[in-house]
Amino acid sequence: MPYNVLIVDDSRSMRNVIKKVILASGFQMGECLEAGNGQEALDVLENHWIDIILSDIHMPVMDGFGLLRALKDKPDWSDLPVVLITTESNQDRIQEAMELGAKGYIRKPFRPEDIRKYLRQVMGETEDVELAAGDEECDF
Amino acid sequence: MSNWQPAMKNAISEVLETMFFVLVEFGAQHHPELPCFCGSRIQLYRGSQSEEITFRVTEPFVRMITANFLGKDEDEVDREEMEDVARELANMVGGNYMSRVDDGGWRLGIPQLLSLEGGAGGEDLASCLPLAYLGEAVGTVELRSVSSAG
Repeated sequence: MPYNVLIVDDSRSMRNVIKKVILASGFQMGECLEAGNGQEALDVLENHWIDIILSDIHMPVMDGFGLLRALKDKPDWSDLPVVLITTESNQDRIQEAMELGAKGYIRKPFRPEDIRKYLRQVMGETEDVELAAGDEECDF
Repeated sequence: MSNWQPAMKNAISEVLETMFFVLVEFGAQHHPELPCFCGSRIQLYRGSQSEEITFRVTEPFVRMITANFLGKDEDEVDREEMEDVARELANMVGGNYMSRVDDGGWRLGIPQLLSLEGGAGGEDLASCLPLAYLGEAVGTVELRSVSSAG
């Protein structure tokens, strides 16, 4: 079953790279939507069915913490899995994000396999899923 | 954050190698007049303490890393993409550097693009790290403490 993915990052280039990594990874992606900050992500969620969110933390307007709080407060969205892809390294801040409901954390700079692994784990797929052709050479 | 250069060199190397597929050298030779295309800056702060990391890089270098990052040919990347990538470079290096030197409580700001006038700057080699690629100077990284008004 393909999953609809929402990528939230204030860098358009980074959103493009993450999207390419997902496409190259063999992950079954349906629609891929993008948002430049947490508020834009909430606007997207009002109008689209999303299965998983990949979000940065440090963004203008509404950061990743604001997004996690907003999701937690809304029953329809409170179970939506969010994986953070961020430069944040402060363990207290990471812990805070996990307590707010984040399902995982990938630190930038990342390797393509980091994203693939998290996507499969969060969506309940096993890691020994047979890789798509050319997957081992997945790059940007 | 004294003795910052070893941690900064490791942070820059890890980010550039992992995300941009580029190996840079940290040249002892500094060229303050090197014409730089764009600059980006990120702030690290803890209470009233604040440090700024500033990148100034040449046009060919930022074009190359943008092309590598986006998987495009160098002549396909535009100015907006190069500026976005310059900001993201500061963001990732800032976060990586902070993870290496953080002794508790430091926060990372949001990266900004700088309008550049003049060259690479950074006359003071104690706060400035020259970058080179294949033996050619491609820019500088500078770390400055910022005094607080409070």
